[in-house]
Amino acid sequence: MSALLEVDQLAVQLPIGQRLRPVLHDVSFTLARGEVLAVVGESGSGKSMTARAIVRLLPPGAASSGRVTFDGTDVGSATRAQLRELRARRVGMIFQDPRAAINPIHRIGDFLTEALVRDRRMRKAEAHERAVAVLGEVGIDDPGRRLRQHPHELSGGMLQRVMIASVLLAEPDLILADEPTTALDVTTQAEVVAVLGDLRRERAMAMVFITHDLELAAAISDRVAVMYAGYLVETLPAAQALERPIHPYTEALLRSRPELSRRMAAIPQIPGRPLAAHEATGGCPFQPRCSYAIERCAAERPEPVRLGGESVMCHRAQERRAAGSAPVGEGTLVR
Amino acid sequence: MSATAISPVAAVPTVRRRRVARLHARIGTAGMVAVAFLAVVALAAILAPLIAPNPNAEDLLNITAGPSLGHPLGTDELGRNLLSRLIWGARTSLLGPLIVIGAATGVAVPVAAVAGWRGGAVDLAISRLLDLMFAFPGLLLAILVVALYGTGLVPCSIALAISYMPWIARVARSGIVRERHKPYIAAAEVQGVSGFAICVRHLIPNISSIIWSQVTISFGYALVDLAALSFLGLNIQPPTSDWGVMVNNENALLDGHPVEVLYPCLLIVLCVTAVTYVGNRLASEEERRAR
Repeated sequence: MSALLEVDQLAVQLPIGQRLRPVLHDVSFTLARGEVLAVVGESGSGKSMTARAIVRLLPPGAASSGRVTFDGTDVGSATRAQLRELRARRVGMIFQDPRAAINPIHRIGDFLTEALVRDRRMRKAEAHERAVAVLGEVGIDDPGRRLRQHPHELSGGMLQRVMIASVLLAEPDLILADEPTTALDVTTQAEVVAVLGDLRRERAMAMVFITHDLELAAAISDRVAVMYAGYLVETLPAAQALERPIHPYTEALLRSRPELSRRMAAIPQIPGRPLAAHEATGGCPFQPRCSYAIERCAAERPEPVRLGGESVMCHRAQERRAAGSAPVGEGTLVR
Repeated sequence: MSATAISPVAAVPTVRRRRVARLHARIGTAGMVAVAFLAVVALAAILAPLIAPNPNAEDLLNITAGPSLGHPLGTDELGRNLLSRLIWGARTSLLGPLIVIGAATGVAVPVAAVAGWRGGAVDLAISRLLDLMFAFPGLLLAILVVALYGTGLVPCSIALAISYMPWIARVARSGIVRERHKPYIAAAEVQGVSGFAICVRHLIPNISSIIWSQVTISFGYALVDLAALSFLGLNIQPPTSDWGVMVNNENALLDGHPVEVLYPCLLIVLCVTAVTYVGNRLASEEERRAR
């Protein structure tokens, strides 16, 4: 079976100040039908930009290269009509802040049924019925009343459910979830993630789930992709993400988690500061902060290498895998 | 009678009262007074055939007369009822700016939407074209049009509409550019809503308040410009009554009866002040909310 989504050597430059600066470098990955890929990384590592590039929703003046192929169609060369079709029916997107992503002046019902009525020429009554049904599925009580309300009358968690409902209504093959829980409080986060996970599974939709929570990523996904400074540094099966990561950055991320089981004097940090994508030098972008760096790392940028189910961008990937990288949690702190 | 029995009846005025209260909150008491004044003038203009006698009827026995029961504001040098002429004059004096602003907004908003939505080269081209139009004074354009097509309300209004269009378009464009990059627009885009539908259903409604404030302020300017054109003899022609025409009456001064010029002047000043005040309040309210 061919992949649903193929991203090949995707690079994006944005106009920052007076010139174009890279924000994504040669990102490649594939996604099978029904598969969930979690994309993890710090702010500014290019997670959102990757998702936006998939549906060509880039800021004005952005330049991109590489190929994004969705179900056999090259998104980069799609016509306006093809792109609309793709966005309307094949790919749904959930945004970080539902309050900003839903037009405040329209009722919830208008937001949910707009695409159905105007684009798919569905009768209003039918669209309304569908909206009521799907709101029920995402766990909103009294959907009929909610449809008549305006966004400001709903809580953030409620609105995010509405957002999820709007994506489900379109029955896409792929959901792009761009930090869907970051703007919500912790208890609501868990509920929203559960709703999203369940409904996606029932409908066998593929999903790209962007988050900076590595544990959440491992829990919700089949595979985890780790991004750093605009590079995809490691892609690995979710089961391994928390156990045996190969890339030193992923390992360092794991070590930086606070532990719940014992009191910690300080949460370990990765030394240095995160690199902006355009600051990357000729070497490995993580080299300045990496405790495993060798001379070669500063001089030469590693190419991603495939190791079993993984893809790792590190010169020492082979030897680290052979050594079975130090189990996280014991070992020395990275500092 | 129980309270529940009254409520359906009371519901209708409640909605209206709430709307009035919301407007009051935005423009203040002085703004409400201005709106009320404008409403009275507009109502008088609309009802002129019912409430005011023929403005051109000459009462030659009472020329340049002072106030009397038959002529509450007196008469002019031909014995025409001044109040009646003011009321009939309100029709052309208010209809003109209405045409000017209506036509200008009707063109400006779609132009601004295209510029703001498409961005890039399209935006650049439209913005430079607007700059070019800014450089051309509206009154001069109106005089040119009159020279080509003759005097009258229609050529004058169209000429002014052309020169007012860029002012409204510029404000609308900046609003659209600001709104364009908000996440809800991106969300609508990825839902596959067409660019046209996004502009009409999402962008323009969300900037309606800035458009309204600009429209209101421009209305005042258009009123003055049209009165000036009437004064110059290019717009409404005598004997049709119009505030601008009434101001251009040197006989009144020669006859030592200046009130017949002062009344229309006063009305122009009051209308422009009222409409500009409301517009400014709307604009500053918009600024406050944007922050």
